[in-house]
Amino acid sequence: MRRNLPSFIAVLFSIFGALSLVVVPRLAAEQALLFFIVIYGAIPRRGSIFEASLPIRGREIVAARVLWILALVWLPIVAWLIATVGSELRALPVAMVLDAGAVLTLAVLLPCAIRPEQVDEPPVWLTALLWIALAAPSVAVARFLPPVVSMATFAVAIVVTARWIWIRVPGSLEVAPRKTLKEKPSNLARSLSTIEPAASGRAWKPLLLALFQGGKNASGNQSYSILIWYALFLILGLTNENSFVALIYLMLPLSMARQGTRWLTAFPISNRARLWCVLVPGVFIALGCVGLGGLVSSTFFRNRMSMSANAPEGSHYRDDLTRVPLEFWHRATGEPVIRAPWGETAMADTLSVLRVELQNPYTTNVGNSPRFVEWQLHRATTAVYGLPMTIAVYRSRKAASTLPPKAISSQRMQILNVMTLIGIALLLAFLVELSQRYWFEGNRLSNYIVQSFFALFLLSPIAVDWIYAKYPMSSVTRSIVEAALLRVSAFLPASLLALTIISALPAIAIYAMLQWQFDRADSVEPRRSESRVGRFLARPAPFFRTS
Amino acid sequence: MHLLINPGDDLPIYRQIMRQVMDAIAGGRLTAGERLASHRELSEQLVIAPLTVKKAYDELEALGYIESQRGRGTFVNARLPKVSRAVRDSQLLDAARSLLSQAYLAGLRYADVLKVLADANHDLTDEPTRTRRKES
Amino acid sequence: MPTTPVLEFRDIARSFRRGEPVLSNVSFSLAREEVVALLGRNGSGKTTLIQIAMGMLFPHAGTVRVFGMSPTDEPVAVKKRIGYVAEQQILPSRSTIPDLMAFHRYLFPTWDVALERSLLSRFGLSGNSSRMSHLSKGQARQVALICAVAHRPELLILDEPAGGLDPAARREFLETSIQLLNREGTAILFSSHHMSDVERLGGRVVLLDEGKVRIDDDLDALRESYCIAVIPRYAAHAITTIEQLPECLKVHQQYTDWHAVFRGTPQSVQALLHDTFGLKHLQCATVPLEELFIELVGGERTAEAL
Repeated sequence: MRRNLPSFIAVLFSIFGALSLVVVPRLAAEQALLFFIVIYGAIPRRGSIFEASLPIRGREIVAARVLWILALVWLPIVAWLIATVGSELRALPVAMVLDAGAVLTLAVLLPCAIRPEQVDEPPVWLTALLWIALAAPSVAVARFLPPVVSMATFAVAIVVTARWIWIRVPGSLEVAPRKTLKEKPSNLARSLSTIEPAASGRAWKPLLLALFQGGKNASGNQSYSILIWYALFLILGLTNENSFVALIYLMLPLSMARQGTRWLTAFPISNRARLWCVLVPGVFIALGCVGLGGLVSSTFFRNRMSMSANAPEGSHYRDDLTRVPLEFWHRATGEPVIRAPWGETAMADTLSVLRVELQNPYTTNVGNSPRFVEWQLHRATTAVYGLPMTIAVYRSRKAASTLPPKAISSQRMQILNVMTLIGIALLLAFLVELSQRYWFEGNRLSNYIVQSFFALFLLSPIAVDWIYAKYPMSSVTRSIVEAALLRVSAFLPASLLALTIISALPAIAIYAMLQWQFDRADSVEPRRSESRVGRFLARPAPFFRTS
Repeated sequence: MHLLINPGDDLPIYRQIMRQVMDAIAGGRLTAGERLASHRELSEQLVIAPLTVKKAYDELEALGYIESQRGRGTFVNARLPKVSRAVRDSQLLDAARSLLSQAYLAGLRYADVLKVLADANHDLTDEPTRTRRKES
Repeated sequence: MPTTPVLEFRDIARSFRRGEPVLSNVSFSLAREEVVALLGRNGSGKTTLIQIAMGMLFPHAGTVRVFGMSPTDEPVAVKKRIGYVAEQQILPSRSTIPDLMAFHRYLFPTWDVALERSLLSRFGLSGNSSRMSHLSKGQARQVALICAVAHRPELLILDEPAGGLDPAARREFLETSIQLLNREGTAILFSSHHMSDVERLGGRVVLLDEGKVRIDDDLDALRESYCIAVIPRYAAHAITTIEQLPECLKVHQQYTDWHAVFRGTPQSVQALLHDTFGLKHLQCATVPLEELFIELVGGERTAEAL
């Protein structure tokens, strides 16, 4: 009921997660995990003080909330199970999905088991600790025990926890007593001695702490929930090569950072400093976590992938050798025929993406000669890896996992990627500022319009990926972006420094625009009525009658 | 100088100050030439705005009860102002009418009113003597 | 000798929804050592006006100048000289009191540490190093007041500062403000619902009613030159004419009679009504500020209310 934008997005994502599991299982396998995590990025709450004051039994309040969250978790799973009954679309083993559901159920229940007589949920750090403690044993159980035993273990754990909570929750939930510190005499002496100006590090402590305090926990108090998002972004970086996915979720840390730094407007701090107080926790640290995850994954889990790993499947291939990822395909002009210098031809694989015909210029057909295949592989490896390889070399290196990094992972491309990421993130921040502005002296865009716009903006890449999801692991939108960046990289000067500076220019321009708008924006939010849709979606259904 | 003001009273605060200062002068508790508290002191003592104190003092000065000397403070005038007899009589007549009306409504008679007047006179002028009598 | 007013509003207008202005045509100014009490019903735009003064909101029309500068164009220079206590607690809840004090010390170059210490001890908070979220609402307010006052600002803006404070704490608040006024010549703009506090701080009263300035007058002038006349039922025919008199500010029905707020002394108003309408022996009196406030901006009340 608070901060409807995250709740709204959470529900939206759970629905999309369900659909994607059904429709495009291979693509969604890893994204679904994130969807599930997002669902309880809004940490399960037990109840509000308002509810605790109503004549409703404590158990019913807690049960209502918990069941609502569990519904969000199990609905997609059940939908997926039903939709894929007996079909080959079932890319994930049932047992694994059920195990995941069980683990999530435990993750929701366990925080409720701490001090169950209180209305407030436990502090964020305790919940995070609990989840970490839950992660390792559950992975072990799921991995190493046979499916039936692991399901039984989880079931027992769930039942025990639920019963413990059920017994302990009293008829009426208590409000935690406010913690007060007794004054200690030693403190008096210490405060008297702080006559000299404090070290500036200490002075900035409230500011630093407050930068990360933007999230509100369920009781409406400020909390460090943004840290959970950093952890999620780290996981995203670890598991997903496509860091652009993070942009979809960036809205949440960004809006938390905006909320958390509102109090600074009363202080003599320049507009520029205030904007950076929003951007650093909301954008740069978040993206930094993604980058860190990517760095760790590429260092430790070095997975030199073959060319065909992310490539669309085709029909003409003689064997798997020359399938390349989408970003290396060319625009189709006229007949999709490839002609070798000595006259041999092959029909290229084509794919139509957003009304643009693309073809794989390195296709080999079944009937082509080995010389042709060698020639195509030579061209393909030059394009993808930057150095030509023969079939034998390619195969042996692939077997030994010593393939070189792809062209899209070169330093130039990395720089371009980072700059593009930052540019789009700043654009997002700019759009958020714009959406909060008062137009024509009196009207702000209604909440519905703003939320729909952002949902559209952020989910359309996912939608595009669904439509064209003919291959695993990679995504069409990312390929489009990488292809564009490859072309841009060809135009730019060779020196890395010049490349950095030039590619940073758009981001800097967007930042200037953002700063300009930020200077002209109101810094306080008047009381706005909550969006009805968000309120509806966030409210648990009245399952229980009041006694 | 001990003043007591009541923000919720019918009289504005500056008038309450004026009334109490005038009462004190009338009752002899403030003697001629005695120094009054400064604007700032009085404002901080009574927790009221200094401008209110200033207004009260200005009015009292206009009426001739006190005199402010630059740099030295505010003092009670040695000679009390001479109000014209006609003004004085009409003011007193109004006050007397109001007092009698109140008393008659309460069922008192003229003799009772005289007794009340005597008591009030005691309060206003004889307080020092009353305490002296207690001590002896 | 004309000096730059400390705070100046000129024709301020602001709305949050098209067609529903929260403030329209608000103009008044505040000079050094002046006190202005901003009164009005909840939702009449007081907090909005204060936020415009602080540069937190942009006015849709008109200009606001603080120390001659625009608070939105030069936030740092302006805010360094203002002390602000907000209606809602805005200080970060996880900072401790000493940390907050150090933070303010860093941001405000004129911070007076001795004053900070004396205020902390006067409010009983010396040696208290708990977090803001662990303090009671009144204590948190007191910390906010110390933060606003200890750097000896030239302008003190208080948005319902005494909300939730017990009477002793309210009195301490007032004492601190008055001391600042006396010793630094600080101008004070405050909004409050406690009329006794308004009476004590004196100065001018600006009454906002539905976003417009209804009254901008000296407090004592309000007490003495405004009065309420009770128009009995039998004279109800004269109500519309009375409303149009220039001295009449408002007429509204109070159960079965009518109350009319006039500018003028009771005697002059009684004479006016007698001469114009032949109405005699009308009840007419000056009233305390709270009654005047209710008469001017209070809602209609009829006998059928319950």
